[in-house]
Amino acid sequence: MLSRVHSALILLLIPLALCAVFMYVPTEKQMGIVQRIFYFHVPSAMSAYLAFFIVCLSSIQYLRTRAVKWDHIAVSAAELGVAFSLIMLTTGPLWAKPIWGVYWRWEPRLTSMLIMFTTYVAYLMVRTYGNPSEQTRRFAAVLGICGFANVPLVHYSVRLWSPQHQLHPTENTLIPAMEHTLYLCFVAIFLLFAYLLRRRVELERIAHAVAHLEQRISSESPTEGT
Amino acid sequence: MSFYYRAAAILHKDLRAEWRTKERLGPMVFFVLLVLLVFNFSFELGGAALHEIGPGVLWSSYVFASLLSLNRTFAAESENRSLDGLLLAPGDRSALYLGKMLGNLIFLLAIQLLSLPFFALFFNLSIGSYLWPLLLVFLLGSSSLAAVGTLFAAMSNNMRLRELLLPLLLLPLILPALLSCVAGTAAVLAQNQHDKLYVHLQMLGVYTVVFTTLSFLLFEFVIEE
Amino acid sequence: MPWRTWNSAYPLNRLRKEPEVDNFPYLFAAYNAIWIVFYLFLVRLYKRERTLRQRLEALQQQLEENGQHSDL
Repeated sequence: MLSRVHSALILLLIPLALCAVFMYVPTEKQMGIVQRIFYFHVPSAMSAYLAFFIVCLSSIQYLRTRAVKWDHIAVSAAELGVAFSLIMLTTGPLWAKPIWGVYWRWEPRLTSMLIMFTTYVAYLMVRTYGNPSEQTRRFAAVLGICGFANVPLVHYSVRLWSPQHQLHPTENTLIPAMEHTLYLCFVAIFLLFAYLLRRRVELERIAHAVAHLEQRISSESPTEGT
Repeated sequence: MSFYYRAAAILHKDLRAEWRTKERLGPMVFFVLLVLLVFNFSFELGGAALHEIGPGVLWSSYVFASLLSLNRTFAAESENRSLDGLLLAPGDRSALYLGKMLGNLIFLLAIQLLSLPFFALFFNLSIGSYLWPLLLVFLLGSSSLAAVGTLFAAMSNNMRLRELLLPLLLLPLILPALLSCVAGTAAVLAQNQHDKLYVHLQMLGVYTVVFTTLSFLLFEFVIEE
Repeated sequence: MPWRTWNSAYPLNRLRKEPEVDNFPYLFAAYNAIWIVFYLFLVRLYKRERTLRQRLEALQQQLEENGQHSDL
């Protein structure tokens, strides 16, 4: 029942958010229509960081309890974090080109997100190239915790490194219409994130059940033919 | 046996083995020289380039050498299958981490100090005037690399594609430390930027403390069978 | 209130009269990129789920058959 309400809300709010972005909000004076990318760019970035936080929490819980469900949540959140950070890293340059004249500048937010993206791609590689075993889950959990612990260090050191590149527009220049649209987009994207996380965790649970059954059948098969 | 005694025993064993075989230091110093050569042919080095890309070239070669060196952290234990024996010893397993981490710190420092003359030669630098601040940056930079590198070396030791995965795991995590090392070295070479140097040294100190603490807590989970 | 800003709303045909519309391809590309990433993620999710559910049913059937053999 809750999942139907969730899906219905998403099907309602995403088109509503798009209408708000393209029809409700006025065009920003300095940047023109390309500023409308902001309304999906920022929620995607926030969702990516939320995903990385979930990876860290689930990894801690997995190491504490060794319950497989926490590992399912960690790997699902990591994949989603990579997907949302990919969106942020794609829309960022597309927004930057008309405004700054170049696709990429080593400014703090984009650089920090790129570093976190590489960290969690490494996490997914550990899962892919490690044997599907308890050891791989443990290692991935350790990496998930260290990766998130790195977030404040990355932010601070990148800011130290490029103080002249504070080119991102600050949010306190938003008029009410822009604020409403931004909050609506936040809600829509977070609900979409929650839905995708739920489906991905379910998939992981099924994969685990399949692996468990295959193991059971292969251990029972020597008794055939006797 | 106390915690520190066990860590010191492991450190002593590694240092003695390295003193006898020199299988890490020699190749690593030579590797740094080769990487400096590669950078020389890739960029125009010397003169004005010193302050712009000198620190970057230096730390890039150190990072690549440290990746190779860290791969060898648990190699002796793997090859001789003595890791099980170490793990069966009673007491906190973090002593193994501390011993290995201090060993890595000493090896990394040694590689940096031994290859510093090559850097001074290629960049026409007289090291004497900035030796002590530079040593401080090297010390904190190596401790940052060793703190996080030892944990991931233990992890990748047990994995299939260990030589390939260690760089992929380690490089994103050490980027903050690398930024501070390069900027700190640039501040040392510029000679009158003490504030900047201090800020970056603080950053390296924080990084070392954070990752050493985390590694102490997480090493148990990485080393168990 | 929404009614007031709706008068200054920008349906797409009016957008074309804006001087900054040169940047429209970037806006278009950015939103397309967002949907493409979500679409690829969902397609991969559904495909894997379908394959796994089929495999799960086959395994459960096989397990039941094995169960019958052991009964005999």
